[in-house]
Amino acid sequence: MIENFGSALELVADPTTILVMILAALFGLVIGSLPGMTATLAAALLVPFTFFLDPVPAIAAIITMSAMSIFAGDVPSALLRIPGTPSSAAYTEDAFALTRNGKGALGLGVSLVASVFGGLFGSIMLIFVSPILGEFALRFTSYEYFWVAVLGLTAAVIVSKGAQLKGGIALMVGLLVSTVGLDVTLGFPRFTFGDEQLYRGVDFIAAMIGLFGLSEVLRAVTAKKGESMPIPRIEGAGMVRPTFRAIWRNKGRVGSGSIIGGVVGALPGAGADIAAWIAYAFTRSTSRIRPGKNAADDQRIAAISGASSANNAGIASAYVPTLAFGIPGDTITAILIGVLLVKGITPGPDLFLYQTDTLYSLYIIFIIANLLLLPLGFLLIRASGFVLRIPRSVLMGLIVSISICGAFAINNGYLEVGLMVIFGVIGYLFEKGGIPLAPVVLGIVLGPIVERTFMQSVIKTNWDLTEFFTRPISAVLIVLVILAIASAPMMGWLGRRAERATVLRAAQDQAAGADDGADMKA
Amino acid sequence: MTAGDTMSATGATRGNLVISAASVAVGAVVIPYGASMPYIREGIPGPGLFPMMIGGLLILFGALLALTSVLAARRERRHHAELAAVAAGAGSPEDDSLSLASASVPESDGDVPVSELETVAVLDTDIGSDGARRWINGAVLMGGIVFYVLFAEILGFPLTMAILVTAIVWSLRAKWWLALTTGVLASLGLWSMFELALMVQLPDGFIQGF
Repeated sequence: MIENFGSALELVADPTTILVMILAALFGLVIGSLPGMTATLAAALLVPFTFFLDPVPAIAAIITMSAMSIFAGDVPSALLRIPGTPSSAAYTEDAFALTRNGKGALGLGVSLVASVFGGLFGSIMLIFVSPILGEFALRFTSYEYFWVAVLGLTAAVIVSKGAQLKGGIALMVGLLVSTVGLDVTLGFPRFTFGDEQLYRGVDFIAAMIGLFGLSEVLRAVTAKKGESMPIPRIEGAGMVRPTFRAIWRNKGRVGSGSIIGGVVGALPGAGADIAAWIAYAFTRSTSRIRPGKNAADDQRIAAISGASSANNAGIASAYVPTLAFGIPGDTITAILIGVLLVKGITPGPDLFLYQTDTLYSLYIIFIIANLLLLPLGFLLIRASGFVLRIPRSVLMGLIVSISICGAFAINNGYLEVGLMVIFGVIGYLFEKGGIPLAPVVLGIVLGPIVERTFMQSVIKTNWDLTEFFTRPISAVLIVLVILAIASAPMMGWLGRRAERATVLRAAQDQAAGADDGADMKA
Repeated sequence: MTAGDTMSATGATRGNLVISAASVAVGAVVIPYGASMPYIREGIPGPGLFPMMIGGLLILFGALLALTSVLAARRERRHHAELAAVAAGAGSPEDDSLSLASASVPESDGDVPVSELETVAVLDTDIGSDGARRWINGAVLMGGIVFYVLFAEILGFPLTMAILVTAIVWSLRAKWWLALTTGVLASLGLWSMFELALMVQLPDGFIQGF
């Protein structure tokens, strides 16, 4: 273990890797702090560059970028009341209220330090939990891999909160895209329309750039005229000490938030944003701050320290199922899996057996990325006003040019540019119709795995399907799949019912109140 | 508020019906195409099996989406009718109070109101336009990419990309010098990064020998 660690450290300490991490960090901080630009967009734009890097720097770029952008998403929350990424949505109101009260820098500082602690906790959890699951996965055969992949696909649909059927349609579109090219059994060309270039299938990277990069630009350029937003001033100087004092006061919050984030993030399909919401609700409902002077602000800081540590912990622990089973926990891990597959690394138990160098470097990268977040995050808070002033029009131009170059560079050809445009239009239309994009990504990544393992299994047993159900580990996985499928529509239905009932009750209460008022007057 | 909500709800139902029709249509095309693929042996499907299964699920999900959105629209209408009945009994309730109570920390007396916030600058998020301009912007973007694909080999990467980026930035109401600077810098930056650092051969066009 120690010698593995040593050689992994050598891989990470390489100047290229360090340089890549710093550049990816700055990129993630800028993209994350711009409202409407998500970490997924940043990952999609980063992928073409990782294409030319060795595996370790490529992984380092994506991990560093995602850790940075989740924190950076808090910046527009505090300054503009717009969450920069969905993970910041839970405490946007509180962060903005702190800014109004002149404590914007403190709020962001607390959120930063809590993020760092959460991220470190999630990394430690990743280091200890993923080998256990990986060992379990060693006993997997093609049957189990089939079910694990099905579980991953099911999770993809469940993540599409409130729109599971649309999520299912999106997943099928992704799976359909994954069938393009020569098939696994007979090498028969499918959906290639006679174009030999399509025999190798639809390139994953081109699809990602289109779905998340170009579609965002399409949406922005055809948007209706909105309002300009004033950027408030925040005093960045001299905030380090009060920040750490506030964190010390809320150490319990940071701890509970980290644990919630670590556990929720590791569940397939539940990402950092869900972790943040749960940690937020937990922190608020267990708040013991007594009313008095500044009580509201203290409560806000407590809530931020809980939720902000949770989302960064979730980012790291989302890699647990990714590494152990090769099943992505969210869109960014799906993109990472796509990158790893291109590099010839298959995530899953093999990683623990044969590629321990890569595995340990991944752990080290997580720790370094979270430590790097501390100084860079404080710099971002100081420079936030400046970053937010980057003109949107310029950014859109840059995204288009990077998208075209990235798609072109995949094979030095225009087929990928065309595919990128097609996926850009698909992404735009899906967004308009409220169809989630994450299942499309998971479908494209997991489609070949599902099909290959299924075909291998049935050919091996001459179409005896009972093997899929009678093996003990398979049975456990099937139960998980069924539970996941059953829980999703039920939760959605219960949630909608509760919301309607609450609104109705509020209206009734008000009606009763109004009646009382009328009686009093009479 | 109620009228607007009902309007958008019908709009959403209509959108869902379009999606479900498209989904069923794709499924209906994919299944026969999958069935036409060769079989591994008599009666044992091979390459066509997965496309056929995907097609079947597309039809199923599409049909379920149509069904559920029609049912949801009906429930929502009934819910609004109930709300309206309650509201009619109490005069007109304020709209804001009807929203779901949020969990965030409630406003306290010590809070500074939004109007007194000291601001330093204005965020340039607003690149949207009204009316026909939106379609023109979309056309500039898509046309620009087509222009790039057609002309990159003739004019070369640096020039074509600079024109494309300048056109997009300028169409989003940026000042002409900002658009031009972005175009030139983006093009040169990407050229040096891909051509020199990553060793990707970008189209040279007539400017050869660099």
